[in-house]
Amino acid sequence: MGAGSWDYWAEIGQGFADAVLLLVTGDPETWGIIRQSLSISVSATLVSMVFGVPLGFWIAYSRFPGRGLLLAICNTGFGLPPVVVGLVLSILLLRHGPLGYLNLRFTPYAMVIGQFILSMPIIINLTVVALQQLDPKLRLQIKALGASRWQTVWLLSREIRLPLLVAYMAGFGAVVSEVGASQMLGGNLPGSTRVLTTAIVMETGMGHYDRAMAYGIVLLLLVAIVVGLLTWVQQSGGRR
Amino acid sequence: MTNALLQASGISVCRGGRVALQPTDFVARTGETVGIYGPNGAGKTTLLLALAGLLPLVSGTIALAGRVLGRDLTPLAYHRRIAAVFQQPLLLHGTVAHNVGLGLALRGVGRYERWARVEPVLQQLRIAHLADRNVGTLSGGEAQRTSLARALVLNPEILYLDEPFAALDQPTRRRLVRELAAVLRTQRMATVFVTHDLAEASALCDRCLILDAGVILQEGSPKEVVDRPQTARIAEIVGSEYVSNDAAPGVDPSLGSRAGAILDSKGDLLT
Repeated sequence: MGAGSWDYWAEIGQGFADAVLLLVTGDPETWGIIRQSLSISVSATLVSMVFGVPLGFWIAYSRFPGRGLLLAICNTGFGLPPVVVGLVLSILLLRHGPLGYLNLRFTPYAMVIGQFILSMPIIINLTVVALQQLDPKLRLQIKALGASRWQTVWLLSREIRLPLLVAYMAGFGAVVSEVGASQMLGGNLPGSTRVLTTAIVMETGMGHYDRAMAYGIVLLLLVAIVVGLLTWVQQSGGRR
Repeated sequence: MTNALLQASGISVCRGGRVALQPTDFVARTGETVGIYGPNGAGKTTLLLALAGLLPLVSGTIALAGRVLGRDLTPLAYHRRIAAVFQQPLLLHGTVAHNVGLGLALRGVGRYERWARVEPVLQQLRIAHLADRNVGTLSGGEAQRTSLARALVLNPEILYLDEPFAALDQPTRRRLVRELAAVLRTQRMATVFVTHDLAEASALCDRCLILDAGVILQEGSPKEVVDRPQTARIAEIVGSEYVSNDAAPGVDPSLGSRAGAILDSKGDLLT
């Protein structure tokens, strides 16, 4: 089958048309996978924010031995290989493993945990960077105004709300397009742990290019929206 | 001194691995404005931040009305009785009114009472027309007025001012110094005022400390430290040719004319 052959391109074109049809006609299987992908990655990134932002404050504003090392670990976290995270968590979640009693293996929760671990370093890191770019006296000013510890965190978070939005979207963009950990932890079970990336891998393997392309289009759109919003926020952030 | 509102004993501070403030005693009384004057890098801001409870102390204690900070008084309770204005306005996202009311909001004061207290202060500092403006659109002078209003609305027992006018142009600066002097005359609080401008110190302060390399060299009325510097180094810092005790020779006589100019400008400032 030569790359230039008519049949080949006709088939690809047909697949693309079918993909668009699946999306616009609201095919329940396709949209179920989209919904599952969004809910797993959105919640994983939200959990990361809940833990990562306060941790970012702590790393940015406290002085303790090993702080540099911790920051370095967060930087390495950017390049944390998803398959390794998937492997380690899978081992921990094995029936006789230390977390086996939770019975989480091949559930959406296991995927949320995996994606949480993958997005956490990104969020910690971007929080620390955003705080370090504030005037150091701003924190003293807020303290001098009579703010308690949590009031200080709240007021400073408001000051870095755009960078925090960027952090959220960067974390989401990273985990929604990740396949290794999701496959290993979720197992690509239909109606439960099948998400866009694992579905693309499976459908491509089975030769269902129309479905694979439909998921690919959605994934690309999602990432494009994230990147577009990031750019917009950064541009408008510069003007403020 | 038993009637001291603020009493610091033997406080010292290290910053970046070196001693920024040698063990120092400091006293401020209600209704009094104390100036901290000295060259760049003398430790003026360090002393102010330490007194305001914003820097960890290596030694010493700070007491507000006899209650020792960190022992009888939590840092939060202390900060809710003081206010600070820095060289940069350090405003937060939002409107002028939001910023001025922020300290009250942090103390749990409700919206209506907040506005009732914010409005007169905005009037007093002539920024009432800016109340709904976003702080990003303010000029330097307007922003610093907002910062000053944010501190004054709290009616603090101690007001800390760290070169609040240093970043402003000369006319704005003179006007603000004049207005602040009027406010300080009417509101009975203790004020600690860091400056490297003797004219400002003269216009605002009852008492002035000369600080150099983390050590207080001399203390007295602004006129006293200019007219009777005790050492050659103090004379150099305040730009005076006179040294009160003869044991300090070697002052550059060319500096003498500056002291006169400063006292002239004091009169000018207050008219």
